[in-house]
Amino acid sequence: MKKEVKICMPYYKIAYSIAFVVILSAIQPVVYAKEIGGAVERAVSLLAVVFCADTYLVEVQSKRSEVFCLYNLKKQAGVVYKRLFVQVAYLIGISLLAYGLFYWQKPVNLTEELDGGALFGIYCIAIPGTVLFWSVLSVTVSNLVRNRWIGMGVVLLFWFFSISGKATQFLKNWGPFSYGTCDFGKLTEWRWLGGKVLCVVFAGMMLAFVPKILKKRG
Amino acid sequence: MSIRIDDLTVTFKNGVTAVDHVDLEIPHGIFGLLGENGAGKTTLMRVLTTVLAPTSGKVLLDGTLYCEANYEKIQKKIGYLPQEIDLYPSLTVRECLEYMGDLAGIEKRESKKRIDYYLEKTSLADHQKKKMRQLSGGMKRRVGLVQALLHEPDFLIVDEPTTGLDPEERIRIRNLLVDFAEERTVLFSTHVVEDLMATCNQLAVMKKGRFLYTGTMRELLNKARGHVWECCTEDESLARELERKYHISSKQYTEEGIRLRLLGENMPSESGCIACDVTLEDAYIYVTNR
Repeated sequence: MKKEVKICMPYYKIAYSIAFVVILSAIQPVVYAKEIGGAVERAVSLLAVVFCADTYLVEVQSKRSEVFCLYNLKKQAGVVYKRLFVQVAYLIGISLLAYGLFYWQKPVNLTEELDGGALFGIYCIAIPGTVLFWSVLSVTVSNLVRNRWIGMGVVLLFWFFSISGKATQFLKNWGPFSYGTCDFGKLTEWRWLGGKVLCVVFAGMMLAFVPKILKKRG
Repeated sequence: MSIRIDDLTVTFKNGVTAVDHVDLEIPHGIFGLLGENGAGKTTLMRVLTTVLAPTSGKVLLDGTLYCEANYEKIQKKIGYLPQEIDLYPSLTVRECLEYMGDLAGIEKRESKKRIDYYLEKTSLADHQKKKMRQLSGGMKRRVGLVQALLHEPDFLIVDEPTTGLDPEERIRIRNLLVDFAEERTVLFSTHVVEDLMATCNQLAVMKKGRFLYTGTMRELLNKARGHVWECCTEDESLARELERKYHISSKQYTEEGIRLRLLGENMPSESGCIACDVTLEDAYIYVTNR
């Protein structure tokens, strides 16, 4: 696992991801504490798309893929899973950092019922689903088209659609941003959970296709 | 271990035929594959590594037919060093080899033993803690060679391993290939004639997707014998005339005048031309331009 960390987490990736959340927290104003989750969720999903697109394609770019494809398919898929695990774990960490940076701006808590700690607890449940979904989607599409830039482009189109008003109206609480678009008037608001469960289910399905994609497009 | 290729053709989607109905038998030891850039050598190698499926024809590795069902079995027997490969720059040499050994399915203790052996053999033991990005081109090639050998393949395919290396590194890589070919079949593709002269007895010359020659080095040299002449002249116009009429394998400005090595079917009628010994380079030029 240590070697996978070294391979898929080069310094430039760590630098741009930290810079991204620091700049985001500095330029995006947040008035209420309940707005932080939504603001971070959208930004971190974008970061996940860019961050994970080259999970396998780094082998193609470095011209190692012709040697890599001689290995057992299970081993090849195992590499992709391990790298995804490392990157998703890191991105969840970055999301928590981003939340902290936003909270540092001292937003207002609306009611006594909505205290900062509880909102953060809900965020901690929601954000892994978001990060996992967008990371796996990015890897899957990029591997399918065998080009990280085209892969990122296609996923970004879907990202733009997902954050649009039409998608929110259409998908309601079942979209990939069900948590971010939910209005937390009360802590008993759990309708967003359906969207997050769907995110995890879709991510699982895409992960199951990794060996097939590697075989056909590796 | 022997490899047999029967009527193999590779045509790409854009209509380009990179390998055109070729037959070949690769025996044990080093077998050279010589040809200009774009001759189809890399495409042929990609078929032999199972990376690329042929359009038609068949390939047999020790009697096992190249097909989807046999790929996994075949892949275990193949070691491959592609023309260009950038091995994990953030890992050290040892880490990189351990990682690739693990991917190749080698048991940890065995992998360590083999890495130690090959690092010693390739004079990389002192550099094993260096990051891959810190290595010179020649060292990277040697690490590439070790990764291809880690799982003890019966068939080693190396694609232009000496390109861009200094003379000392080239000799080192060549000698390593000769050592490793003792127990296996090695397909050594190159466009550097000297590399084959120094390493193998059997070779194939490829041009535009076809084999112009397959056989021993000696037979290839014999083919060109009697078709190579040397001529030295001070007359520049005569030199230009000879260049126009014959294939030139070398040209030098010396104190005596312009010294040319000429290749042609018949002895030049110009005075001062003498028959001379054939080099592999002459033979290659002769065969590819006949």
